[in-house]
Amino acid sequence: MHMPNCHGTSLMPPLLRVEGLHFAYPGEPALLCNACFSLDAGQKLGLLGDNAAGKSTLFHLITGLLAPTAGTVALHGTPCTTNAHVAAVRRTVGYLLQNSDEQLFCESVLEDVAFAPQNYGLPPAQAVEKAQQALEACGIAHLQDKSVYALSGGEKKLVALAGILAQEPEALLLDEPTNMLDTRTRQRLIDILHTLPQAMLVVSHDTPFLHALCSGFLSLENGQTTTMPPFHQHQLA
Amino acid sequence: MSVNPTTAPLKPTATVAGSPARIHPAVHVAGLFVCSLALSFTHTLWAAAYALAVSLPLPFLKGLPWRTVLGRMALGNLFVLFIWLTMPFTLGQHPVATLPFGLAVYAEGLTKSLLLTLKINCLLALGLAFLHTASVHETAKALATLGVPHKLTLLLLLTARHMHSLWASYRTVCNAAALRGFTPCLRLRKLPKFAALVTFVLLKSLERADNVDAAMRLRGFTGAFPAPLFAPAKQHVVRGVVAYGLALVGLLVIEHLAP
Repeated sequence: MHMPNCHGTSLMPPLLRVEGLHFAYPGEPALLCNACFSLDAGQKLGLLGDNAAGKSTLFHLITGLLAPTAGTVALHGTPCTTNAHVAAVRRTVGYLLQNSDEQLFCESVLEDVAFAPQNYGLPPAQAVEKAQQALEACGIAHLQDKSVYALSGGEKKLVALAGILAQEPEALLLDEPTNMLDTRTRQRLIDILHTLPQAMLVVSHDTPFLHALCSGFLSLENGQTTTMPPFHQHQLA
Repeated sequence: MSVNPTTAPLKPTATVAGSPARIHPAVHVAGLFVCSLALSFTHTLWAAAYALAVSLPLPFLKGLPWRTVLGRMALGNLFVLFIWLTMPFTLGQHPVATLPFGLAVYAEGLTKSLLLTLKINCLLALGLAFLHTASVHETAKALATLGVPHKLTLLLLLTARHMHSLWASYRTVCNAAALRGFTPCLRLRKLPKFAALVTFVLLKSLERADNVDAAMRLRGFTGAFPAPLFAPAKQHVVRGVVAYGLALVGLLVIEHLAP
């Protein structure tokens, strides 16, 4: 397992590797200074940090929505230096935004979930098939004809997740996935995430949720990522 | 739940079985345009009356509540009222009556007013029958099918999505303000605070627009919207073409045969 270490020595390159990442918003002090970690296939990591520590910014940097001032993001050992690399990261790494409302923009659930497969060149019939499989995986196949405007908060979260799963990513970046979810929907989300084979990097302040899902933890503090001990040990410390 | 994408029909725009809802939206838009154009060239009261008789039941067949239909029609007829207040007294050379203060009512003006009334109400009914029952997405898809540039239909779609979010943000901000004792209104004293609220909503909407854009790009969007998932069902296109075609032929025949 690749734990956060800029100089890992495994033979196989990790699925995702962040190395020496620096970033500062214009006119503000540096938010990330030399952030380093790697994520292996199937690994589920929790990312902890205070508010405004730069967790969402880190996700934006990984997916190429923001450009780092220094450092690299590497996918399967290949540093992302061109637009084609960024496109490859976006296809391989699904990013669930904190606010699902901003992630849904088509009229019906099925259209929205089929959005990514269609953008990646699948013909409509196959895109529909992929979308239906993703909806099934999230247990919301019955919502496929519903308008996205008519969904509850929990349903929106699951539809947004299905929309990402439909593009068949190898890793998921989940930004506060349990935010505003009731207990039942939260448990349902945990159950679904448990069944998924993808690697995950999860930002959450919901510690029991992280404890239930993740096998390792990172802390983002003063712009740097550090490995944390297993969760229960951390809690006891 | 499985849907065969090659045969699955588009969602009907209303629930009335066997109604014009079973016509493809693109045919509706094209039909509306052609019929409106043909109607604007008609000169006889018979043809205009026929057009109104055909179009008036359509909003009801589409399942619109009669109150809504009458309300919208009444609003549109405010313009017609203006026509009746001016045209009969100003257009023509053959007075049929004289009102107090020597105001002459001309036959030509009356005929023209009646013709315009029939035409405008016909267009209102047609517009209501389609535009009031079709979602923005259906309209955008219909326009795309008819060859309207993709950027324009995309702009229409995202504007609709954004307006929805903008309104939701405005309501949230207003409620938050109301909970703290401030009622947004346009009174001079409250205007600066109201302007600050509106500015906040606009800034928030800008941020939201950026996030929606990011979410789209994260899912592979590069500027070209994907093709519709479901091909239009052939019978919905044929039915629409036949319906609008018959209506149009009827209009032309009556226009030609009318005295």
